[in-house]
Amino acid sequence: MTKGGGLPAIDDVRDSARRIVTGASLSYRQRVHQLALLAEETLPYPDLSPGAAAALESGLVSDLHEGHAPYRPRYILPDYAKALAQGSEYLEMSPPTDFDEAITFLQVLYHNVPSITTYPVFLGDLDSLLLPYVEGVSDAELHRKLTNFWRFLDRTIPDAFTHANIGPSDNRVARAILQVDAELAQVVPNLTLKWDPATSGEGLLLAASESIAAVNKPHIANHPMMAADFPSGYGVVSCYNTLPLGGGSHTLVRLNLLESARRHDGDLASYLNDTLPGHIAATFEVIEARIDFLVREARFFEHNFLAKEGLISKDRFTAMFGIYGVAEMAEVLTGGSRYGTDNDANEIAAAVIDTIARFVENHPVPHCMGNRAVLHAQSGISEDIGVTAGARVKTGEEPEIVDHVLAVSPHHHLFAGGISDIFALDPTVRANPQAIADVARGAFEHGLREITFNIAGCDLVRVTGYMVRLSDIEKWRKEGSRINSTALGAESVDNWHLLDRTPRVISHEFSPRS
Amino acid sequence: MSSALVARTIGTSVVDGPGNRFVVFLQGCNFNCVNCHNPSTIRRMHRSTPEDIERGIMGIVDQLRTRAPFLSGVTVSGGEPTLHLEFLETLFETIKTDPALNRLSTFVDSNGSLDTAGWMRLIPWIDGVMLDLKAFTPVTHRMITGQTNARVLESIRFLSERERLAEIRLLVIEGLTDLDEELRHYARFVGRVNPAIRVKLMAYRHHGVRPQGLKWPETRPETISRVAAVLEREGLTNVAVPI
Repeated sequence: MTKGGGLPAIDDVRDSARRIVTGASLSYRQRVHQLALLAEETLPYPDLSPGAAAALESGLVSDLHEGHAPYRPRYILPDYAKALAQGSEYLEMSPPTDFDEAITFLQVLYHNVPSITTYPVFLGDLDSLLLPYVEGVSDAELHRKLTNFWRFLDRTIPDAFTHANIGPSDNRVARAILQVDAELAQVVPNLTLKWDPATSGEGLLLAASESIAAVNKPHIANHPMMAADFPSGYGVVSCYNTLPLGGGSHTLVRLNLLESARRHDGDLASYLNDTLPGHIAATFEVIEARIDFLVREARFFEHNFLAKEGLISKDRFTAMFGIYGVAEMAEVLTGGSRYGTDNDANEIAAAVIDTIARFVENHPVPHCMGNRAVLHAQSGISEDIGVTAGARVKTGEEPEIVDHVLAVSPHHHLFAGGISDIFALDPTVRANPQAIADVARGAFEHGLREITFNIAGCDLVRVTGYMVRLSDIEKWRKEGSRINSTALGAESVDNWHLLDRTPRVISHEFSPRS
Repeated sequence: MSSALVARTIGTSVVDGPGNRFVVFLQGCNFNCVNCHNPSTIRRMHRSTPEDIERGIMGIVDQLRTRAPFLSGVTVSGGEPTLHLEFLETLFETIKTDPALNRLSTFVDSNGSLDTAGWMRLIPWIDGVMLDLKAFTPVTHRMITGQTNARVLESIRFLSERERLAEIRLLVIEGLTDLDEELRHYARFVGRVNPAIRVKLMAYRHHGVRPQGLKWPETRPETISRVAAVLEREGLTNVAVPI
């Protein structure tokens, strides 16, 4: 399909539709979704200048297959607490009065939250949402009810980008969720613990570390750092995107820094002053054109009930300015030095990231919270080959874990929209989860925004941000999967030989969605 | 970092005591274990000078300044670290009297050959000792390590009384240390000291052993399970098997 250019020929559309309808390994819902995408792509792309259209066409800039005619924001983070308190007129639901009603209420609401995958990416700060309803619910009952809820989520929201948050308070619901999540070892939901060294306590961090030792979840967010960037609330969704609560992100558009560096001829100063700003401008143009269509043509915020009932508001949406390929960009611009190891490569990476961060900080984007986008280190998609995700150190070249943290922590504060460096641990750590807690605590003290671990030997592994079960991938090859992301994971496995790699390498797989 | 005294250091280890640990390997050992996995550290060095000690400690403390937030503590291993008693005492005292470092727990990984007067010097500065008791029967112990085990048993009793015994490790060799009679004696001794002490079972592997060690087979998983069951039946409550 073309972008920013001509429309597809009807015969091509028919061929694609036929492949979708007759494809052996697609579920019913996957067929419906792909047919919708196909229809959307028969519409022209929002108007772009020839330069931005060419950047999009060539892959210098990418909208990650969001579609040609945005009719819903990419990431929506409804204010579920507000919904539980006020009920929903549109859904004809009164505010719940007990635990079971609260669960049903949330289940109904999740079903009605739009997204790019049709499934909700954010399930809320589940412990604090449910805590008001647990009085009188015994520990055993809580465990049973959460187990059923967790099964419901995994079976009805078959999308690994779906994300639940817990913390920063240590409470019995958070503890029960960690336990149930580790016992069930499901792909869905993905889980983030918001951890505050000052208030959450080491006990909660250790409980999370025990879960990580079992199922490679949860991801851990440095709560004080994120709360400072989003003082009126945030959620961590999808592949570790940090976004405003009660809002979200209209779109995610990413700039390929390897491509950017390849197109440059000259010294570093001229790259920073001339070449890079042009590429940044093209990225912003795509972002703005997409938002303009969503807000003014599709009029999403005028007709969707979430906006009408105040569960989201347009002024709490931002846009994600994604970058990736920092490692290769530094290599190209230095003539071969290694990012993560060599000082000159690290310095150039820092200068480029700083430059982009300054542009993002100063560039007004209409219809965004504070009129600004957020910078995001985008974790790649399954079709990326030879370009490292986000600002990660290149696969196989990562220093020892503490040195690795120290190498990447200086720029973490710049990525308000999230950055997902992943740290591999040896399977022996399963007998010693305290060590996981130790590394996380040290990383936050040294300025890491968030941390994710991958431990080899789990069936549940992370393909950058989202989880897949290795056993599902083998099964998918034969008979198709219930879960959307399994196919994407399989593609990553094939492109990146995930199954042949050492723990460190598994952790650097690419993701089909941010 | 490497010197005649400090063979090497590891900034991140998850297998040398509780949590993530900085590990220091010292040079020289008075045992001669068939299965030693650090054979290059067995060779004794010349007596370390005060300069060696100071330089070694400064190098370690420098690294700890950056790494402390990532750590539960520091483990000194070897070789046999207690052969360098003055170094150990000074290093741990430095850590425990430094406000930025005293949160770190201090552990020694030892063969247990130090006498009680030696342990007395370390007691004020250490949190735990992980000791090998490779066999209870003295003749078996000598076959594996080249030394008898009277000192080791005495160290276990002494450290347990002073709440410094973190772990005892039993090397499971089929036909040698997995015999019921041997295990019963082993468990009764440990049970009298403290039945709740963590006893970690180590599987015997051919990787790195000397030729005379090849006559003993590698430990099968079912042997580990059986040994754990025997020790538990004899009253030990904290038997850990390899993952």
